[in-house]
Amino acid sequence: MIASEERLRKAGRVRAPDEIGWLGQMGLYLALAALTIFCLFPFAWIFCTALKTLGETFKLPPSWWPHQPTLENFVKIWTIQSFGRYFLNSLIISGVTTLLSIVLASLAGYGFSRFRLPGGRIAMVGVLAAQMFPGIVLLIPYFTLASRLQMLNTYPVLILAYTSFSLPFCVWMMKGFFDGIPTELDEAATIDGCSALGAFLRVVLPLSMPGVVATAIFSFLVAWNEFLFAVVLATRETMYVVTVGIALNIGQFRIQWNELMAGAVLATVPTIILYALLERHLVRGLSAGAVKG
Amino acid sequence: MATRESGLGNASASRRRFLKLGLATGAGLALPLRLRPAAAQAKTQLTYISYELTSAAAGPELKRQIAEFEKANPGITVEGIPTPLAQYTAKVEAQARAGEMPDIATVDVLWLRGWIKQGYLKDLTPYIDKAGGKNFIGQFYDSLVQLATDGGKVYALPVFAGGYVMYYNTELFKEAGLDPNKPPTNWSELLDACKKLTKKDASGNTVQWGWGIHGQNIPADVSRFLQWMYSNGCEPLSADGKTALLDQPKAIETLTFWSDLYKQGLVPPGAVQAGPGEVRSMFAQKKIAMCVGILWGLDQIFAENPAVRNATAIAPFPKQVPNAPSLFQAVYNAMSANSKQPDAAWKFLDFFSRPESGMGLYKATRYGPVRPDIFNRSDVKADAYAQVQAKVNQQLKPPPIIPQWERVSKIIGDAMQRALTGAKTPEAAFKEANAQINPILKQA
Amino acid sequence: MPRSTRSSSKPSIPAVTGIPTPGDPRPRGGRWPRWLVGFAFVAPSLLVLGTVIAFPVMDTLRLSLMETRSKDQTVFVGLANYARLIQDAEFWSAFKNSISFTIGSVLGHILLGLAVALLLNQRIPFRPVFRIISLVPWMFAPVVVAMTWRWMLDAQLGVINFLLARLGLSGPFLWFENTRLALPAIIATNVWRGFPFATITLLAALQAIPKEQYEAAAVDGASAPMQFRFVTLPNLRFALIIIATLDTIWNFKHFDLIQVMTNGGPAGATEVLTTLAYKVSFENFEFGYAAAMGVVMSLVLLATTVVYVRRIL
Repeated sequence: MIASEERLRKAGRVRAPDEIGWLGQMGLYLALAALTIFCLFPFAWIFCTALKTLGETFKLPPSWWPHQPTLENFVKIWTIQSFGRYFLNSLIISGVTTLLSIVLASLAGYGFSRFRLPGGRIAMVGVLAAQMFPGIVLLIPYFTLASRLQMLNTYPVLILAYTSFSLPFCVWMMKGFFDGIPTELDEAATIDGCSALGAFLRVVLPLSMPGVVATAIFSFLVAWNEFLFAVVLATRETMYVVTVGIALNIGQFRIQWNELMAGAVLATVPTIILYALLERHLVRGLSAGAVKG
Repeated sequence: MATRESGLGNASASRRRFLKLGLATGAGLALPLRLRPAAAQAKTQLTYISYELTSAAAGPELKRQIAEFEKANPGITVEGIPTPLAQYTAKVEAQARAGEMPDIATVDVLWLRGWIKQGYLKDLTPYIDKAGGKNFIGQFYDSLVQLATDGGKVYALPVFAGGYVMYYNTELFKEAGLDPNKPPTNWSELLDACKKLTKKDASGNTVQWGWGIHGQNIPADVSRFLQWMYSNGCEPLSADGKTALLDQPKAIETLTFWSDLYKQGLVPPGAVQAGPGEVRSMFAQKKIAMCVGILWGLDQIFAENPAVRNATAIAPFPKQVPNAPSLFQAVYNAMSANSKQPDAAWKFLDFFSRPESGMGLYKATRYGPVRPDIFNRSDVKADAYAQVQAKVNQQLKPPPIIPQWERVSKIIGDAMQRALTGAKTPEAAFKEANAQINPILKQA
Repeated sequence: MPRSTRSSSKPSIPAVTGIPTPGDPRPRGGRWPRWLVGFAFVAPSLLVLGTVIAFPVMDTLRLSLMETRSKDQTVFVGLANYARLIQDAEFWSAFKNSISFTIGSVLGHILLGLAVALLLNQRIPFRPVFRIISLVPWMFAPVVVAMTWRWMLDAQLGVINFLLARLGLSGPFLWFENTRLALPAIIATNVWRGFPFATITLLAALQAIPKEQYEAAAVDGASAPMQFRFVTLPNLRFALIIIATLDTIWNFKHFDLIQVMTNGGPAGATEVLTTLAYKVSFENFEFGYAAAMGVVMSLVLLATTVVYVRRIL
């Protein structure tokens, strides 16, 4: 048990600040500034366009901050299109996909990590192989399948597709995390009377929170940002998701840039909330260590 | 041991969370099965898929007309399915091949032949015969009907159409010392005007160009290039669609003149990235003085920059040979082969072919009328743009009518880009394209 | 992810080429045979993947042996579609572009992702804020990213050329006109969009590296670069290989970004296998031929994947 506490305490500790000198600090801040500009510049452009009127959008030379900032584009996209409905659909589909991916992937990851399965290696490659066919050619067969099963315009058809997109990474990621946790822990739990599932749920999984969080964010974004399947498999507008709603602004004869960008900005909100909620678990090992250390 | 217990405490809390996750997952899967939209019981429900429904200008007008249709036909409801243009064909084709295509679909003229050949669309001839045969179909421009006809059967009804024109900015014309009432009518006048309209600032940077080239490899831009070919009295394919004619001197001459405009610096750099949207924006921002255009692109220009509204004029595209025709863009409505309620679907198609429907679209978005009679209405006659369009429409010529057109268009687009970027001479580019296209045309 | 923590009281620098032990096979006091318990853990995932993928993949394999003449008429043509692929210059050119796109993107994602993960793993002020900032590019759908970057890079209307001109560089820079610049421009966009995936995965993996490994290395007199080389990298090995594998798969079949930004232009310089397959199926109606392309793509990926993951299986 000592080993586990030790690990708990020490896992994921960052380097102490005194390890890098004054020059290093400077470099650090420069790097952070560069990172911020790199990541946020296009975002800023998107955001400002969302606040501009069409008349100002293509002004040359371009204006940075809109002269007459307006929230009209946000209102328009929310009211004229059924953006609220698309949002709800996206939330349901992405939410369930995320939960399903975490549950299935952590179980499978544990299975692959802790049990010597007949054909286990082939199965692990098989998990990856499930992703290898390009979506473009699978589109029609998958659509046909959904139509035969009377599943068009249902949430499960997209949830299952997206779960199959996110599972390969999630399974491998979780297996990697579980591999890093000493088997002595499971053994001790089993000796204490836990079943295999109990050992997994009570001991191993809580120690793998950073992995769970990473896979959660990953599977959420896979589902939230997917477009091709979403646009083809929903044959009714009531089943559209946010990415499709955004793309509806790209018309044949005109692109409604401002509404498009407003939609894109709105679409990032759930991810930001999700990340803000989960971020502390991504560094869970750190805070646990800090309290006890 | 204390720490260990607390560790287990955490673990059991997380197990509770885990179980909750499981329950939520189950509930999430079960719920939506009941959320499926309830089908209207007694009424016939038509589905109508269109990328036009997404358009800011046409969408509301189409929805208004759909409501009118439902009012006139109390037994029928119409569910519109707006779909982004870029994925439109993929979606409709997946649906058509699974036997799930919506009852009515919007079809661009470029896809029409392929969709007919693939068996996606229903033959409308029996309905047209019932509605008056020649009297009914004769209301539309004949060339539009011809494009939708295969083996004597008509598969789609036109909704809006128009030949390409030339946009030009009258103020920039005046500044350059050109007569705004005398736009160029042939290529040498055009070249002359382009040179006068290309301006440099004090430090030698070009700030305004004479012409805007559509150089993306997309069907819409290739069509605009074909407009150049038509105005030079040549065509990409023979009339029977079996032979490519890009290696003919006139075709090469067209590509040479067109790409030379670019190489002489009379067109803004970056042409291979300029599609209809980019060129329109450059026109709206007075970076270019002239370009190929279509009637319904005007409102977008005015929206992007209201200041150019009074300076924007349109004219027939400059003709290098007398009486050269204009290529037209056209959009149709068609019925899916798998429609289970064809009678109701026909009513819908019929409704949208009325002059009132065409008028409504014209007023809302300047979508070009598909019936000559609309141009004679007093409110259309008062519109100077419409009058130019009516004149252009007297000499229309369709894009090549073959099912393989999209493939051929892509090869022509590649050749255009090779000539523009200087990767190949216009002659070499078109000869190569010609050799690639011929085998495709031989395929049935 | 670390594998060397099995005996965490004995800190040591792990060997670079260690093969992970796949758990302890000793039977424990359950009623089920141990392999069955393991199988029960794995089965739900395999079931979902199998259900979703099996039929479409079989159908694609079948279709690749067919010629689709119309919606209702398909003809068996044996391996003719594959034979045609071998001679199709367009296919090979797209194949080459796909490989360049994949290599460029994967390298970019991993290098940038690793650098940012290491940066964000330092003790820095407002760390959660910087972490969320570094996630921003990944929050946008590829379609939005592609539209935005295409516009920002536009020769006449783009803000980037405007900025470069302000900085005194004589432009405009024609990113998408130069056949040699177009693909790199798309790759750069793709690197921007996709690196946060590598960052967040590596960040999670960095959290799991036991501190004592660094301490032991420091005691042995290892410098910071040495610690990176002998402690950090070996511990990230698993994560890096997984990222490389999956990123290869995703980018080799990437579609959205390229379709929107150039749709294969100029003159085919950015035509990749997916954009070609899209045109072949939905514009040329050659669904059988496109299916054959899909099969070849997946075989290439399967071979690549086996080479990658053999090291960590």
